[in-house]
Amino acid sequence: MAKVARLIDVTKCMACKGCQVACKQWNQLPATETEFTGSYENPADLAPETWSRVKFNEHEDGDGVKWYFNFFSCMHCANPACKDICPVDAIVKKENGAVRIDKEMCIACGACRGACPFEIPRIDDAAYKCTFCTERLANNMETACATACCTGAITVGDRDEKLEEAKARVEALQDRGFNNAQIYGEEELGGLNVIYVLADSPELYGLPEDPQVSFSAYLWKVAMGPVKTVAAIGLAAGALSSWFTMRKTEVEKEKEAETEELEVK
Amino acid sequence: MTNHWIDYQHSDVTINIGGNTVENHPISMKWIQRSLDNGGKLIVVDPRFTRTAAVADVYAPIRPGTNTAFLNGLINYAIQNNLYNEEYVKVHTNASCLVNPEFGYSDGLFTGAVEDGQRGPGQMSYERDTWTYQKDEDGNILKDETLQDENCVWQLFKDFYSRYDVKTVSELTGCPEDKFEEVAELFCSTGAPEKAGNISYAMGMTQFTHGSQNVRGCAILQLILGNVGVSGGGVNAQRGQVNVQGACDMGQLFHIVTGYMPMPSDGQDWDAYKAATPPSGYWTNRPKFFAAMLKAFYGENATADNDYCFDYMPRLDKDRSSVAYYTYMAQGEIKGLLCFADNPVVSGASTARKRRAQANLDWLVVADIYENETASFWKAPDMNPEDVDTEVFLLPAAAHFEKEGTATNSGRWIQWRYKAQEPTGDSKSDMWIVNKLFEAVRDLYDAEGGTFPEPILQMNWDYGDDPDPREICKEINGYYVADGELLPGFGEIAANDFGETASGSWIYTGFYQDEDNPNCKRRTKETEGIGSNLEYSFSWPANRRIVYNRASCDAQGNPWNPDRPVVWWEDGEWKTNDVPDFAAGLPPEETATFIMNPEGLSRLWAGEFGSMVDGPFTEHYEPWESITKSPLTGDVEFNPVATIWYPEDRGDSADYPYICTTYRLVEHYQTATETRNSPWLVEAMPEMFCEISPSLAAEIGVENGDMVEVESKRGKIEVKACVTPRVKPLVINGEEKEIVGMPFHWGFMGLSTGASANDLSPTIGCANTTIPEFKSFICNIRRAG
Repeated sequence: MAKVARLIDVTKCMACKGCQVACKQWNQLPATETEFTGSYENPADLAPETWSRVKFNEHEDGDGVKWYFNFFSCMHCANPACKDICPVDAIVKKENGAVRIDKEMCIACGACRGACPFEIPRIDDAAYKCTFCTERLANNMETACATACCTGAITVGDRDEKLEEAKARVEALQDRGFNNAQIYGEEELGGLNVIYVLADSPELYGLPEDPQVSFSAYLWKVAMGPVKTVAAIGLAAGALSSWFTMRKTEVEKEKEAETEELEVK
Repeated sequence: MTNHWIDYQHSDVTINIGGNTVENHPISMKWIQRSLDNGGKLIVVDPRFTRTAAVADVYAPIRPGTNTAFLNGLINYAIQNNLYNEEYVKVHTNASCLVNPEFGYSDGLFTGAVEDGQRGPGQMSYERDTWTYQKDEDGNILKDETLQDENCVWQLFKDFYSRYDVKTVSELTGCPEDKFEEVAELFCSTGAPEKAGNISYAMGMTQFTHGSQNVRGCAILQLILGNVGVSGGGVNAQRGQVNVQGACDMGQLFHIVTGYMPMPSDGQDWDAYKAATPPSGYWTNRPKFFAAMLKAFYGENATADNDYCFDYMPRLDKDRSSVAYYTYMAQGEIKGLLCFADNPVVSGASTARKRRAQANLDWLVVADIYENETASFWKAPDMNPEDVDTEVFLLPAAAHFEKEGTATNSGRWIQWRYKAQEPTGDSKSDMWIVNKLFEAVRDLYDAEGGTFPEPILQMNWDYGDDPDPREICKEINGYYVADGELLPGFGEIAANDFGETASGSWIYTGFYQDEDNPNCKRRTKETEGIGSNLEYSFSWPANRRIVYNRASCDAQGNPWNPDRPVVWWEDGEWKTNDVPDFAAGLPPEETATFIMNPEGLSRLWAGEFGSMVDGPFTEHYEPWESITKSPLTGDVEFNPVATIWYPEDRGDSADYPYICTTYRLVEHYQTATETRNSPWLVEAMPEMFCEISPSLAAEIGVENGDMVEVESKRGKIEVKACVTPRVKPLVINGEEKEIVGMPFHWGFMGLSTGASANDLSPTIGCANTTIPEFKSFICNIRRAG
């Protein structure tokens, strides 16, 4: 099955926040309390109730003021550190590339957030993050964010095709004078299922230049196999009551068994 | 707009001047983005580096209130550098027309200026006897096709605009000379015949005492560049509400009735109204269009014997704009107000004055989807409910998706909209409310009589308990009185005798000509062509998508751009990608391009037949409140014809040394009655703020996020400061001047509350349109607390 990627062409993004609000609406996430701290960017951070947001990156150089916008959410990594570190294997990598947290199995230990180079998962009674709208994709629809985006800054499709699109776009941008235009997500961390077309270097967009999984997470996966199991049992025992509570809360939308039925748009 | 949204994709250069497309018309960015993908460029000219500037190719700063100077500079640049389309100018404009030698301009005033105390101390009106064309004894306008005669429009025009050289423009606008030249070179490159330039503007062009002259400047620039009537070009106003275009089309402005016909004036009878008809051009049909409207209003009661009930129409006795009637309200003249989907206590000028004025009302009816600030004026922080005797009625109104009907977009496309759900709770559509109100008033007149009941009692109004928008659409579309058959177009109104047709708004005729499959419901996209989409909705007039499209060709009918022709003459006939906006039965040399003008031509000089009250050319005047004086207008500082309602409200720059401007954000909508009650939108943009430069912040000792107090002659508010390099001081006439900008979305009601920017704005408006000068006044700012 082909991998799906979300292509984000930041040069087409105008920071209307339609994507951020659509994500809230589709997932019926409540609004958080925010305040104006001197930036148009709000909410200021991800949260269990905020799975995506638009970042506003302002700076000034010899050419004048630059105001770079980028949609920021889970990168759905090819080799997700969150999946590797999860002590209860609550995180799966779907065949289409989406990284999903099984809420029922999650024990809210927070290890995934610690391992993630982008600090994406946020913890409440479970870990929460972008689901890649797999139920929408399964019904021949686009992700909520892509549907809301009216300029085509966010589109979803086959990863290989999106990469080709991204390369063509980078060329066109370089012709227009954006000498530093580049792709982000092709090779980073072994490849991301979120591909960015950037007009400039990643740190100007609030993205880590060369993201790395932390050494401790690496150890966790490769070297500590049996230790991981022992620790998992310990963590599970300690969190038994919350585990039972979690079982009673809202059921997660998708089960492992449905993996084969997923189709890529 | 003269063009339409889809057509934006064809622009070689789009300039957003006095507009902020990304914030206020985000969906249209889809089409501007296509133009960029096609190799086009986007220029933004704005006091701040906005979200639109962030995606543009060129950003140029401009002092709020100096659009005319900037545009005049572009006009002069095009002339001096020979970038204008000379043939277009000769064929489609009044450049060759000869003007009365008595006409002139000096030191801020055109000829004919007389004192007019009614407009305020020191203000003027113009007598237009010198603003005339030279004519022969038969009344035909004299011309010099060589454009050399010293009195021809073209010579007067070049002379007038030569005063706007790059240096002068830079000193007035604060835009550095090299940046201005960069913009000028790029935009004026669209003067090449096969190139199209698009001026996409909004309130940053219109909300000034000289706002309409700004728009004239856009029109003039586009005309000499040959960008009017072509695909990718146009003078494109981005309308600010979903159906403001429809509202204007249906006569909701105080000075017009439906279809942009003038409201009858005090003392004017039917004969006098007919006598005021323009002598040539398509407006010669105006009396028939007016009579058709009266037939729609009064049905069988409107006959030739009673002048079609013309005497039942209200008469315009004086300025009845929003700015004016709130002043009359403050003076005790207005006793009641019906306020539908409007929130003047947040969106009006000098809103503290408006709250106090409303306290003079005996009654106030507000129909809205939430309890807004206007309905709650009596409990505003600066009001004492004990002092307010007004009886306030709040009628819950249905939201737009809870009712059906049409909405007309900026591109004049009339689109039917369906109902998604029943109105919540007891809320009702505006149509239902107005119907009940009218019936109640009629019943009272019927039972009790009154002063002049006939205009109410004889009205053709019988929609039952639950009015059906379809019936009203048929009435607006128009029908033959004899058999009720729906009209296919307004040509039928013109071709038939008075009283034989009825039509609520002549420009809409055709939009609902088949009640089983009305044109406004069609949704068939075109598969080839230039994007006209003639079978997608209905575009007034007559489904024309790009108006003035005769101008897309030269005198022989050859298109300026053969790759994207709108119409063209071939094999002895006109071929089309749009509906011709001219008499397509005539060969190219016999057609008039601008059929609504008696001259048949567009106006570089808008004197005779024109309606601009403040001048036939666009002179830069300073805003009413300014931090500088213009060297171009002698002792005349601001628009000499604008009405000054409160002379005492004018601030002095010694007390208020900073330029203040107001604007909008994408997260909120106008006074945000809807959006400040939406949790997700409040989360995205939670609080009121102002934007200032780092240098101004340093001057007043403020850091990003600190509270500041902003004050004008009209009031004082406390807001957070957003300190950002996107706002910079500008050098104006040699002195550095700072700008304070703020969104106007906040008020004291709703989920998110905050100070109203309009507590600071001045009650003075455009001399022609009365729209208040929200975008340029003066203020002071200091650390709060």
